Amino acid sequence: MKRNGLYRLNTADIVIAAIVITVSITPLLYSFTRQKSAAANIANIYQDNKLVKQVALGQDSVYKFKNMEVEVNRHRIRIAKSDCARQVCVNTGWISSPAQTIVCVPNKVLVEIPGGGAGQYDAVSY
Amino acid sequence: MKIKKLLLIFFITAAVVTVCAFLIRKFIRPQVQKQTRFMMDTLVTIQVPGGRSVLPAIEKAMDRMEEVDKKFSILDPGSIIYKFNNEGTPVTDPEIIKVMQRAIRVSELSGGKFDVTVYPLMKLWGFYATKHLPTKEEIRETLKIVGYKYLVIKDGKMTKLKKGVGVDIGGIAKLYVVEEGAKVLKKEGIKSALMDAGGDIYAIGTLYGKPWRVGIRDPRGDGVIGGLDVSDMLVVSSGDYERFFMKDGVRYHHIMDPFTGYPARGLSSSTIFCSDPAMADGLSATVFILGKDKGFALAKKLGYFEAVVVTEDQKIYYSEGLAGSTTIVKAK
Repeated sequence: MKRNGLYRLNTADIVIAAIVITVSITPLLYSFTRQKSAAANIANIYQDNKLVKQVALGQDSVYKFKNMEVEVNRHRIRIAKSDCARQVCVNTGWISSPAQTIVCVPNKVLVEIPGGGAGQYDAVSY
Repeated sequence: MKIKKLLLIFFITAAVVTVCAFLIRKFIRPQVQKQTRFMMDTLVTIQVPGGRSVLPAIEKAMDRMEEVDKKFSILDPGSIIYKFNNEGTPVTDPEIIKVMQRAIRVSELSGGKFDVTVYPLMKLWGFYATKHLPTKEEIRETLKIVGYKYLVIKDGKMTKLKKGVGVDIGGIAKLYVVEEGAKVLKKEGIKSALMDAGGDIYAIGTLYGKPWRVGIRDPRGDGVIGGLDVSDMLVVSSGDYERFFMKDGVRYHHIMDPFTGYPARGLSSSTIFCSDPAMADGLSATVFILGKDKGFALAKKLGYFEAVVVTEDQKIYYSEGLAGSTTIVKAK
């Protein structure tokens, strides 16, 4: 390979530079996209303090378990049906922000959008 | 060649530093321990910054809260308050008396608009079982046994002046339970914690030097209306969105106006900020029943709490002490 001067780069140099630049920028881009979409990526469904299901909020779905039905629609989640007497969980309606929760005491079920990251709420008063 | 090498070394170093910084930010986040337990007819969560060594303190606080919670049950037939409400058995338990005195203090401050004796009304409307719309006659009859002045506390003993009078202490007891849990945490050497009892939040200290960020639920939407960065502060909300039913397009919720016997009108939610757990009892419900203007006037007069309300037409208002505050974090 002929070298003509200081500023002439060979293929290997370009490949290395490309890798270095990609490696440098990716985490930055990744953290930006994370912050933007931090609003709601997943929700956790717990029963008796045990995680029974993790659902993606980006995909509309219905999850049935025991006598309950949990619905995901347009990045929101709610308990659509429950056999409990007072229906507090169903009345809570949709939640979509990190740190929000829906609680069904009789069924010991908690639906939670995890929060507490940078710029997010640590808890939500309701 | 030398310059090229130097450039390459520079780029690689920059890349390594960036990647390391990212990894540190992502994986070595300040640790926060979080525990949850079902009690008080809701879910209680305690978060404490620190390693696993703080877990026993959280457990002890939860145990104490569970112990206090059982005492304040109004639906358990064996409980002191159930016996008072249904059989007229006088109450002598010092803790219940203490909380009842606080409830009566708020009743007086609110000019009777907040009333701990709405139990018969709540029962009539079915808020303890199956909700339904009572007749005007039924409401009129029930109002005859609603009034905190029918309660007498003397020499550490609570009795009632009228048969059928009963107390709904749930909302007020919730804060007392939180206060007791906080005492245990402090005794165990915990300086910072975030306690959440079904949406009633007590933010103690800070999260590694930064205040805790607490959001306020949007009463009609699915997210939050905004929030505040708080430290050593209680954030308590009352709203028409949790316990309610709809009939002929009208929303009937559980926050009763003891003067009319019907759900209080004007607001969708009220949130209060108060730094003293012993003074915060009943204030969010009081503001909800009083409405925006009278509620804010009370906040100004008492001077130890501030409020944010959402009116029925979904407009947000802040009390004087919060207006102009730079700590309000708008969500939208």
